[in-house]
Amino acid sequence: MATPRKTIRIALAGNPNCGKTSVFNNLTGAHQHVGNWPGVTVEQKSGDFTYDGVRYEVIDLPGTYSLSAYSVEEEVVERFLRTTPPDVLVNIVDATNLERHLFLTAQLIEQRVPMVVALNMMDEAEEQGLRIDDVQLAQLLDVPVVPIIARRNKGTGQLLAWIAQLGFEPRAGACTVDYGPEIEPAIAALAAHLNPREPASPHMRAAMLLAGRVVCKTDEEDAALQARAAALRRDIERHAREPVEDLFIARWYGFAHGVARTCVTQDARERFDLTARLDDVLTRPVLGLVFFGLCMAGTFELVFALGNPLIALLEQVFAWLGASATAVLPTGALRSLLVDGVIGGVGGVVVFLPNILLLFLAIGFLEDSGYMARAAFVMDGIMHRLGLHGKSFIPMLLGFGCNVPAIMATRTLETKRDRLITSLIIPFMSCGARLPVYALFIGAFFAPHWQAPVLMSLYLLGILVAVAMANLLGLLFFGSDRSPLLLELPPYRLPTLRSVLMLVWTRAWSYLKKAGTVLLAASIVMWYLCTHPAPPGGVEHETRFEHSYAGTVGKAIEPLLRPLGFDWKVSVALVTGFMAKEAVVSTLAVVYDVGDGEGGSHALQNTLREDPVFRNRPLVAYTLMVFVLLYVPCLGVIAIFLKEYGWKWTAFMAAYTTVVAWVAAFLVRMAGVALGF
Amino acid sequence: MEELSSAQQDYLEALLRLERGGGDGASLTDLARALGVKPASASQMVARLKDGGLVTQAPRDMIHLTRAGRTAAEHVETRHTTVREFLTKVLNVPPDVADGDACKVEHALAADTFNRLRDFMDHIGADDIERDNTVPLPLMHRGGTGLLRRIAGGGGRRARLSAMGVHVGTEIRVLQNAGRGPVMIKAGKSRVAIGRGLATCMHVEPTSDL
Repeated sequence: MATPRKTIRIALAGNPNCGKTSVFNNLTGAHQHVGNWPGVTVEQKSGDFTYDGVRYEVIDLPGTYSLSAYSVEEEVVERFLRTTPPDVLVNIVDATNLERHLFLTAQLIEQRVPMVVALNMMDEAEEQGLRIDDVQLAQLLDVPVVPIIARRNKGTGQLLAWIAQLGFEPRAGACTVDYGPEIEPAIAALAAHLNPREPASPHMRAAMLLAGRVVCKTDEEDAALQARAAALRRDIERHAREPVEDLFIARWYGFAHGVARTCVTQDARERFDLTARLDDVLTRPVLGLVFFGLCMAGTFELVFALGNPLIALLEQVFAWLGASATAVLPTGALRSLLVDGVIGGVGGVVVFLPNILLLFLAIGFLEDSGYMARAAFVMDGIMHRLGLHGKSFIPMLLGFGCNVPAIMATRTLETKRDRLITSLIIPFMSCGARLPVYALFIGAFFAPHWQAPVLMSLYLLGILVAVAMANLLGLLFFGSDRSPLLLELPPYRLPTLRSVLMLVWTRAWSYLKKAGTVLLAASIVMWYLCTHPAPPGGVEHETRFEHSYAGTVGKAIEPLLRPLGFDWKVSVALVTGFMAKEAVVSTLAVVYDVGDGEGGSHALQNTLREDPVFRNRPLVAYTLMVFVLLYVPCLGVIAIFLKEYGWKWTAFMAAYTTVVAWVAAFLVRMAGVALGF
Repeated sequence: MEELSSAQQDYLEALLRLERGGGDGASLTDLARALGVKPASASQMVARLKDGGLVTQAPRDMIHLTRAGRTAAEHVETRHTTVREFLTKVLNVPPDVADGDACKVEHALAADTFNRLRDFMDHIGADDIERDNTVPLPLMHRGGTGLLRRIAGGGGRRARLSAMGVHVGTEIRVLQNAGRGPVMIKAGKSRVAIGRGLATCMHVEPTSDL
């Protein structure tokens, strides 16, 4: 037995929707979301666990259909396997669609990395009358095969046992794909010239060289070898009258088809196909759009109808906290900091947690049920007119939750053009953090029966602006070249409670963390800026702020925002909103000094209603909401943008969103005034 | 090129064909016969083309295309072939009908329309299409089934479709096709939505009614 290494590295590979993320969760227990649309795991995620006293590191590779490097994910996986091969590769395949999943297996198997195949969704396969001979499958592939049901965490023990075994006694299977009489002689000719010191199989290295790719560094540096490969490739193509690439595809497919045929048998019984029935209705041209609209409307209704009573409850909790602190602490800076700054600022944001939880609950349900991909299909016609395609819609929809993961999700798009345009319009998707701002103002200025429509109108406005900008940006910078839509529609599945709750929990946690860190800091900084320098003795609140730093900043930018009807207090809130959009609410709470006593957003709403800027003017509130919707997104978005696209595009994004926001808010105000609001 | 009348275009095209047919230039009689007109009118038209610098003709001698005339004639010919190919390869119009229609349509198309048509034909890889009984996928209706015969064009289209379970030679069923927007198909056990542009490159041999 080999001496145990310190850590054994495992990588999980498989098609999108194969249950890879479930396996990842089962192995690591990590709190990570299981999605159902292609590409939820764009990031390379990792976790670790200890088994039998040994530490294992698990890398969750992005879901890919092949290793051909046609998308960012495929590139990531291909490069990962080439440059940093893991100790054990776990290939997760969907037992209900074995043939297609084996297409990837055919390419993985020749990497000559110790590999175990996890045969997932055995329960669904059985329901569909599929019988899979896993023993035979293991023989044909020459690697261990473990039947599992990842959703219900079944078979994890056995999978672990195999991983451990391969970790300690590495053994790569000897199975090779037969590339046929056109290619095999060329492979043999080429393999003879390969540097034998590389671990990867010479057969695969030669094959990949013929396909115009290099698998390892020594091959990359060997120019003579590549010239030889190119010559052989030309020969083959002249002979077969087909691109070499196509010959490879045919052979991988032949391999997958042959293995699946040998190992899978299906009984002849007719079964009720839920996915077919649902798709028949839900993806029809008109009906599909109607259903999609209802889904969205239902989501917003849920967020408010169910969320508001819970918000009221949380408000009482913070009011009580504020009152207790006021009662216990002596008057002075500390009490002011705690009550006005911390409880008022952070509390004003945390109370909106129910809205955010419900929104993510709805999005998580749509994602995990498989409907999200249908939404993309239904929307493709419309998206096409924006110069984008349906797939861009998924990141945009995610943008309603939070812009940051939405921008990360644009990596599922194939061309840089699509990625960039989609990322540039995602900030107009009204994220969860903007919801507290709307909730505050809508609650204060609109009658209950108007609240849902007003909210809906903001979301729609965001979409409209995004549409207009997508067109404009496409025209200005990118031309009309776009990659074709190609999207898998996974079977409908009832989302497991665990996976949806896990999503909600991770989002809730990150929201609270943000509240506890960025927002806490922002609130304290704001409190300081609002209370210093100390006002001349015995002055009223209003004037006290005018002398503070915050007042000075607000006043400085006030002239710019005056045409929109905003005063310096709102201006300050908009500045801090750059840290995080929900900070607009906490800043207003501090600026208006309503953190103490009765506490919560209710008090702030009352104060706002009486403020001369807003008094009886829903229009000003609406203008402000439009501005908050559109202007420069929060620091988090700026950070991810910087990472993805560099500072030039980031600067452009920040500038153009703000200009768009100003113009849109101004137009809304002008239109409102003209209409007599 | 735009200022050429459709009759002038026909003359140039006929001259090009006659020159290709062999021999040094074309006689007025041949030209008149090829176009089904009287020699007198042919003579008139040739004189006009001569004024335009498109043909040369010494008195009582053979007619030759000038360099400019040849370019113009080839341009007309491309229009003709492109339209004809579209009719035969995409719409499955019989060749003789297509030829006649192409003669009429080629003059009527605006330059931009023609350019778009040519781009479309390039896009679907029309050159590779041999005559067979396939149709582009978007012409299949909801519920129709067929065998996927070809995926035209490069850019890894075949590789990407194959990896998603959509292979040449497999039977596919059209699940949704609204007449615009993407087409949804089932291939094997995979359900895949395919943008219309890409779907146009997929040639299917129907095994049911369209």
